Amino acid sequence: MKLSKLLFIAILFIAATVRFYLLDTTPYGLYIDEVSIGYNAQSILASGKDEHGESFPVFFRAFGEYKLPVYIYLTAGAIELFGKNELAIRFPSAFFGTATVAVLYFFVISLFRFIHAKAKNNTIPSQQVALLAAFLLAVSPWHIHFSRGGFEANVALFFYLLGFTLALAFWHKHNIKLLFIACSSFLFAFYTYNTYRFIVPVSILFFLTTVFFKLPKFRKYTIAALSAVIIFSIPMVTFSLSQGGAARFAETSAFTEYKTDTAIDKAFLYPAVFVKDYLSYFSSDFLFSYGDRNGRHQLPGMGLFYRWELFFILIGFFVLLKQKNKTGVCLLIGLLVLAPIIPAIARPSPHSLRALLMVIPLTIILAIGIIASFHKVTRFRIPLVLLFVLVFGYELTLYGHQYLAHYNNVNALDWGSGYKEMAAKAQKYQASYDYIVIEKKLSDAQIYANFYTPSLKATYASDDWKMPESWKGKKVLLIRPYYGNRHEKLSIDQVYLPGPNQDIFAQFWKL
Amino acid sequence: MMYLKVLIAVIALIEVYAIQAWLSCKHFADMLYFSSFDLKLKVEEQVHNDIGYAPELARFFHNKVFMGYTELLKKYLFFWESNFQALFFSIIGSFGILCGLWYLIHSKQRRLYKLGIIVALGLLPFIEIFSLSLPYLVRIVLLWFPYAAFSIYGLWQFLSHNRRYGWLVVSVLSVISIWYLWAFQGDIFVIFCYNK
Repeated sequence: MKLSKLLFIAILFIAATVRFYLLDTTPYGLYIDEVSIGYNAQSILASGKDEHGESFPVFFRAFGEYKLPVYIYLTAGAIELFGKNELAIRFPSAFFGTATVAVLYFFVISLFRFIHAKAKNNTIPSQQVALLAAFLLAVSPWHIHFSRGGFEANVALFFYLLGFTLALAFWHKHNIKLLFIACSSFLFAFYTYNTYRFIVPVSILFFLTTVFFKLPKFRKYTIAALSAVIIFSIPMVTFSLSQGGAARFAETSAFTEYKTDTAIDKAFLYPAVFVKDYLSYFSSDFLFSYGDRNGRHQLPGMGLFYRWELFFILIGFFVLLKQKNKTGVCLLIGLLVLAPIIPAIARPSPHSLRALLMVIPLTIILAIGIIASFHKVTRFRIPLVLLFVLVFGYELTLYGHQYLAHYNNVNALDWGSGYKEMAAKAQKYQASYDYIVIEKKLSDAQIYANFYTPSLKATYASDDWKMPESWKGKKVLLIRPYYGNRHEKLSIDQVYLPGPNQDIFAQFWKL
Repeated sequence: MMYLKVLIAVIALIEVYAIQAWLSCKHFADMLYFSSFDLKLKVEEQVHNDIGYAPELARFFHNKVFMGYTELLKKYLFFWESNFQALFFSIIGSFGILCGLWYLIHSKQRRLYKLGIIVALGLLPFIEIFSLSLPYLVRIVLLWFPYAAFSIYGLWQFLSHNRRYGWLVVSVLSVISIWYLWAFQGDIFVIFCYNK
């Protein structure tokens, strides 16, 4: 077997290991969207209906918005395989995250047919860049993080990249099947994550228009593909124009943060808001220091890339800008420019999940930067390579340590920790009590209880709740957040958060 | 050539306009300043979360040397944060700095000369990061003027090398810069400054 094949298999093995290792327990707990996905997937599997009783819906209503279907149906399959648990909900993301690493390899090989990147006088071999890019994505903090949670964006990224790769492959091989599979893959991305509602149409139009004008003998196939795409897009277009489809946009629009009275105010302010938010996606603070500061989106105090990578990304840009053949460079830079456009009109900005597509062009540019530097350095090559391996190794192991030893302790609440244990304990007490009341301040308790303990019968009450007269003399269990040690005598049990501080998530009061 | 000079003059005015941000910001946000006490607290916090692990392992990952380096780098990168740059140097000014770097590296000057300029420009933010006790105005001049001048050099080079469309790119960026400064100078300013 050739060395490159062995390396490719080894990279896939690494990618799978870091994505699947302790997937069910780290991050600790399922966050609210994961539970919602799991609940709907379970419901589809059991009855063919979603939580609102609609049969095999294309759009799933959840928490005042609509979820796209692909991830939910994939999760239904995973629940069939692994049962109703954390692993099943995260499996599609981890699986397609690993597959993205493989697809990236082929994407780079196809892309390099346009680039012919050169460093000094040596042509950079596309296979070296492809292997290195795949490896860097396999260990990328940004990509690992979203592969280890039930994030639709990660699966959408796979379909989008696959579509792009197949489109490039069609360009080189002129195989009609590739044209149609590429369009199908783009459509899957379209129906997986909201950001792709813009990126996919732009990409498909760009691709098919280019084929139409540059490869005239495929015109009839291009028209057929475009027609198919339009037909399959109709449900999404109708949905996007509907009240439900627009709801999400209204809810997350970046512009609602700014008060404007007149149309002139809007015309003046909105473009500036867009520029501000768009720029934030290219900020060093976001990419290398803190990420988007949402505890669910990266490790605390760590960026989306390792810090040492900044230097090589800059070199990569430098090498790319010097290329005489601009087609491949434009495709790569175009992808980077396109990726944050939709995220920049939503709030908050920057948002590492919505802009996940950026990881692909940046990782390729990083790989080009490293390979070009390696080719450029002729003196002290061995000590420099050793230093590089040492720094990379240290940051990599530090990331692993932070992820496995700290993350569950520090960011437990971001991942809905405590709710599962709370629901399980409530169910355990159910037989001994007449009524179980859960305070609404444990805001997501109901959806977690529905998912983990469907047989639990509880009343969800606001914090000014008073016990009804008719309950007098009955045994009532009140579950509420921890407010301190007042009424300690009432407390019969508590749920602790993981970590050395022994923080209490919820208290069980016997009324 | 005349229109290039006019364009450069307009850009210089925009960059001078951006100095308002410097003048009204006597103290940057804490994010920019390095403090050994803060570093000590951060190391202790990290070690605290390593309960149950061997102390050597905890110290291997959480020590002042490595964390000092990462904290310093974070502060340094904050200076190059895109919105910070857009506000304190203007968007066109930041573009000019990038162009300056590009053309300096590609110029036929001696390697040592080029390296000297890049290192000097690269080290300037440390004046603020380490809170060197310099008079306020000297600090501003040291932090703003070299970059503004370098940016003008970069834009001049850009315009000279891209006669056909360069003016269009620079004009569009200039308009966006003015727009941005008007829209946000009082707003996102609070992210970067404590005393307006």
